[in-house]
This record gives sequence, structure tokens and C-alpha cells, in this order.
Amino acid sequence: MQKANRAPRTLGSVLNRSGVAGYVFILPFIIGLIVFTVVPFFTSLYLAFTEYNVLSPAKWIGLDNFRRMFFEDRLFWTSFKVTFKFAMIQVPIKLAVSLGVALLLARTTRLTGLYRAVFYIPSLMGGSVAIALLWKQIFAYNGVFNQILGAIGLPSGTRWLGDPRTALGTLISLGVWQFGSSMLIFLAAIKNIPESYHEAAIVDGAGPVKRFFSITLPMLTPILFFNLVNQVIGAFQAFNSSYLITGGAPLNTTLYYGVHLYNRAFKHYEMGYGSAMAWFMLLIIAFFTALIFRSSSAWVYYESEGR
Amino acid sequence: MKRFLSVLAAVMVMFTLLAPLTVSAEEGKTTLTILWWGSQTRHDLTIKMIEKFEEKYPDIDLVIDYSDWDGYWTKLSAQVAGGQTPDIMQMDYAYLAQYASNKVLAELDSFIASGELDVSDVSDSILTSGQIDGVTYALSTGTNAPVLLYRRDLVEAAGVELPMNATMSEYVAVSKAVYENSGMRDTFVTDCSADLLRFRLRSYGLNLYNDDATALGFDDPKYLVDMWQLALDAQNEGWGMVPGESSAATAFDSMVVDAWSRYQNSNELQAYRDATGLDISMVTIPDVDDATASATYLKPSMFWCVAEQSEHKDAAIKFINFFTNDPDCFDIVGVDRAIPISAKMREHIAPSLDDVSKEVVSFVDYVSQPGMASPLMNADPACHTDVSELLGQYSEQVRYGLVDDLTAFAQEFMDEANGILAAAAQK
Repeated sequence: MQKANRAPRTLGSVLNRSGVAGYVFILPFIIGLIVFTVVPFFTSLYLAFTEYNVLSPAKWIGLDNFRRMFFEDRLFWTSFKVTFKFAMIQVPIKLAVSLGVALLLARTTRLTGLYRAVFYIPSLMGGSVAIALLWKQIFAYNGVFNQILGAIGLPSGTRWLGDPRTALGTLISLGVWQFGSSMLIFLAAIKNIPESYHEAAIVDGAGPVKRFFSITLPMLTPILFFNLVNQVIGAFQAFNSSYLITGGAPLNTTLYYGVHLYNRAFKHYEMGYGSAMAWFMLLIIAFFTALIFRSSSAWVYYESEGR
Repeated sequence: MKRFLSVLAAVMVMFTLLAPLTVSAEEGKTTLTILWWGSQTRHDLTIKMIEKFEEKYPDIDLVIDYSDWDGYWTKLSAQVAGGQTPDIMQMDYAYLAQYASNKVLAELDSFIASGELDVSDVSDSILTSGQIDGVTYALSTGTNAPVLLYRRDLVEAAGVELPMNATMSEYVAVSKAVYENSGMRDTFVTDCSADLLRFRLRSYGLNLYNDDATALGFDDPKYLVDMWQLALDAQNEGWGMVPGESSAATAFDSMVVDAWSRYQNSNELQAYRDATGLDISMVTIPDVDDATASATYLKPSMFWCVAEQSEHKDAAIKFINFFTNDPDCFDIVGVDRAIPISAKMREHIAPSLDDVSKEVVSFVDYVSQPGMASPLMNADPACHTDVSELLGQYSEQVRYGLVDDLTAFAQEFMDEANGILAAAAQK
């Protein structure tokens, strides 16, 4: 410790050194990150190898949780398949709808601003409990949706949320309805495509369809890529709609992975098993994200690559 | 820079000011934390009752926290895990064994022996209900009976009558009449939960689990088959609720929009009337037609427990003693946590009760007559939640019409449930 020849260190001199003040400013965030994310993250990694009922200290049981997950827990595979199906159906539909609406709203008319706001509203309320409960009421057996179907002479006796064939689809419709945020991102990207490309194409005699597939879509692929990754991660983590609307019923056809995890960890006090499930999901999400990233070189076009 | 420093100083001062707020123990006062679950009716009564307690024991300060049933067990377990177990907590029969075996709960025998917790007016069978392996961990808040709540207005409108002690076929006849008249359906026989199975077994003098909970308490699949068959008949004939058809947001709500009857506990009558504003009444759980015993039983409605890690167990005991023996307490709470376990308190509240409470008391008195109820039920084992969830999964498949051979399916359930119980017993 060679401090003798330095000037005495005051609080002011410490803070004046480059960077220190910056760290002080981000300190609240850093503390939050460590306390609420980093520590729980690694704690759950440890807990995944333990039996932990919350009431007594955790007990190390090695890979037992994973053995139980893969070979004993039927609902684990059920919930895994449900989540997979949910993601595979919801993500493409949601991307297509948000892109479609973005294309419609890209044209500027007097009411465009209003429309943009209106279409974004569902996303503002998206994750909220109130909307999930509203959905439950709308699609109830004697809910508004069936009454409308009845009023226009269509069969109105479907138990949308109670029939194993329609329940997951009803929840997916809620997810798709909340397309607003990806729509806004698409919209911004569409606006960024130079008008001159289209003008040149028109001069060459290209119609709207040709222009969409040859100009708009390729120019949007980086954004499509971004939205795809986001949506896939979001779909795998889905929780609210199943937990609040169906609770996994009927016949576990809407039992999302996240809901099964929550039930084991918080209803049955099996925190160790829940942690193991969470880590397995992390690996699955990482795998699919990596897959999308790997495939991106084949279909995502960046202008800087000069293609 | 100076400005920044002064802001920083201000922030730091604020933090040091905040710190003492979290430990605001007044001089000489004992601070206790208490946690319970309940409806709005209960929250209001309990808060009033606690104010009374603090008035009588000015050296004790209670910090209250409450929740609904669903959130309660997450909240309590999180507090236990965080080393913040409430000094006094409300406990349910289904969780008592689990919390006691994990050493969360303090034993109460020494306080009973010293007389700090006065149970001289409490019957032995009620005291036993709070014991695990002979050690008292919990004291019942009151005695309860499972009941069938029903919409009296709808039954009257249908021109029929539901007798106090109906058989299953009498109940089914009323169900059909109400359905034809009002379209409101049954959720009792179609429920097919572990509780419904328990009623059915009790009618034959059996129980859901054997005495040491190492296996199911029955080995004939017919009990399950009969329960499922009745539910299927009810669904097919229209008077029973088909799964996935309910549009109620809450249990209270279901008695308004879907169902004319519902299985609950006797102390919940007031809460159901408050929440729905409807003419709801109660009768005993219907017995199967060839019953050899009563399906109805008396049970502790819930318990008070003290935390093992509490630093003020003696003060917590004072509160539980207040709830058990003090007329001032029952003048406020009445029978919201069921009929007081102390004979003296039962006498004390009898004259002052309102009509609903009187109905509850006379109901429990009625059930308490010799031969009216089967013996007090044992505490469920810790794995009861697993078994009852498993039955829920099986019942759902039956109710969706996916099962052809009910007997084989019942046997499959019994084997799997016995496996869970055996594995849990070995731990």
C-alpha cells in the first residue's frame, strides 16, 4: 500500500475521478439487478439440484429433479407440448397480422394517427389481469361472443374455453390481438424504406405485390428477425392468459409450461423442482434463439452487406 | 459538483431516516405480526377484534396482514422462507401436518400446562384435532360442519322443498325440479373432488385415508365409480354443470349466475349472503341412499398457530387465549370463524346472535346430536394436495366423456394415489 505521497482522499476527489460519478448514478439499478435478478438467477441454479419445500432448508439431491421431470412427471411433457404448440401457432399469426396492419397504416391519410393509436391500445393493456378476465367473460358459454354468433344465426353453443379443441385457440386469439408493439416496430421500419426504391420499381413496371416481395419484405427482414426472436421468447414464457383464464383446463390443453412450473413451485411448495423446470426452459429458449440466429444469414438482408 | 454532493447527502440522510421506520417498536411495547385469510366480512370483523385486544392489552401491538385463500399459502410460505414467519398465523387442516413437520409451528402444550392458554372449557376431541403425533401445534378457532348451501328462492319457485337431511335421490329430484324451473344447475354432484369422495366414503363409515395415511382408506373402486356415474348422469340429463360451461368469475358469483347449490362450510353462510345479496340457506350434505353412517362430520374450521421462531410466544399465546376465552372477542367476531370451541363462549354468544348466526349455531347443534355426524376427521397428510389434484385430473377426463371403463379407471387412480401416499410415508 503506497499511499504516503498522495493527497488525502476526500469524498469529492473520489467522485471527481472519471467514471465514479457515473457508477454512483447507476448504483440503484445495479443494486436492483443484483438483488432481484443476479442473486435469484444463481440461487435457482443451485436450487434446481435440491429438494426445497420453502419451509425447511434445501437438501441436495443431485439430478433427481431432472430425472423426475423427464421420466415421471406426465404433466411436464403435456405442458411442454402445449407451450410448443402455442408458440408455433401464435408467433407466425401474430407476425403476419402485425405486418399486415403495419402495411395498411403506412399509407398516410387523415385518420392514420387515430388508427395507429387504436390498434396499439390492446398492447398497452396487454399483459393486464383485467383484459384476461374480460376475455374469460367474452368467451364464456353464455358470454358476448356466443350471443353475437347467436344473433347473426351462427351456432352459438360452443364452450370456447371449456372445449379441449377450442380452448388453446381462444387463448392464442388473445395473444394475437395484442399485436400492437411489433406492429409499431414494423411500421417504423416500413417508413424507413426510401421512397426512391418504390419509384424506381414502378418505373420498371412492378405491381404492388411484386414490390412487396422484392422491396418491402427484404428491407424488413432485420426487423422481422428482431420481432421473431422477441415473440418466440415471449411465447415460451407465456403465463398470464392460462393462469387467469383457464387455469390449464380443459384436460390440460392450455397448461402452459410456466403455469405448471408455478403450480409445482408455489402451490405444492416444490421450489427445487420448479427451479429445475425453469432452467430447462432457459436451455430450450436459448436453443431456439440460437437456431433463429444461425438461420438468419440465409434470410435476413442487411444493406451494409451490399446485397 | 457541490450541488451533486448535497443531493447525495440528502439521499443518504433519507435512507438513514427510513431505517428506523422498519423497526418502530415503541418503548416497552411488544410487537406481534399476525396473518390470516378470509373474505371481506372476516377482514372487517378481525380488524375490529384486534383493536379491542390492543385496548385490553396496551403493552402488545399487533401488526396485521391478511389475504384471500388463494394468495395466502404463497404469502405465508414466502414469509417463512424469508425468516419472517408471522408470530400468529391462521392455519388450515390441509396444511397443518406440513407446517408442523417442517418445524415452523411452536408446540402449545407447555402453555396449556402452565395455564397461560386456558382450555378448561374445551372438549378433548377439539384439542386433539390440533395435534400432530400427540403434540399440540394448533388450536381450533371454532367448530364447523360441511354444508350444502342453496338458493332458497329458486327451490321455492320450483315448488319443491329440500329437507334438512336429504338423501341423494331426494337431492337429485330437487335438482331436476330447480333446473326445469330456472335453468340453474348443480355443481355439487358434478364437482367430483376429493371432498365429494370423502363425503361418499363417510356415508359408508370409511375415510379418504387410512389411520396413519399410508394408503387410501378404501379398496373398492365402486365408490369412485358411483360418484363419477352420478356426475355423468347429471351432465347428460342437463341438471348438472358440464365442465367448462361455468361463466362465474368467483365462487360467490357462481351462485348468482350458474348454480343453485354448492358445497361449503357452515361458517361461510354470512359471507355468501353478504357477497351475493341473495336468499341463501343451508342443509346437511346429502347422504347416499344406502348410507350406513352420516356423510356430515364436525371439523375444526381453522386454527391459530404460533411461530416456532417467534420471540414473543407468551404474547402470542395471550392473543389466542383472548380469541378462545374472552367474551369481548366474540361480541365482535361472532361465529365468523365458526362456533366457539369454549362451552362458556358458546353460551355467551347464543342470546346476542343475529339471525344468520343463529342459523349457523343451530345447524352445528343439530349436526352435533348423537348419530348425526360421523367422527371428527383426521388431519390430512402433507401429500393431500397431490392426491386431490390427481383425483381432479382423473375426474376431469371422466367428465369430458373420455373414459369407457370407469371401474378400471378408478382402480388406476387408486393405484397411483396409493403410490403417492406410500412414497410420502417413507420420507
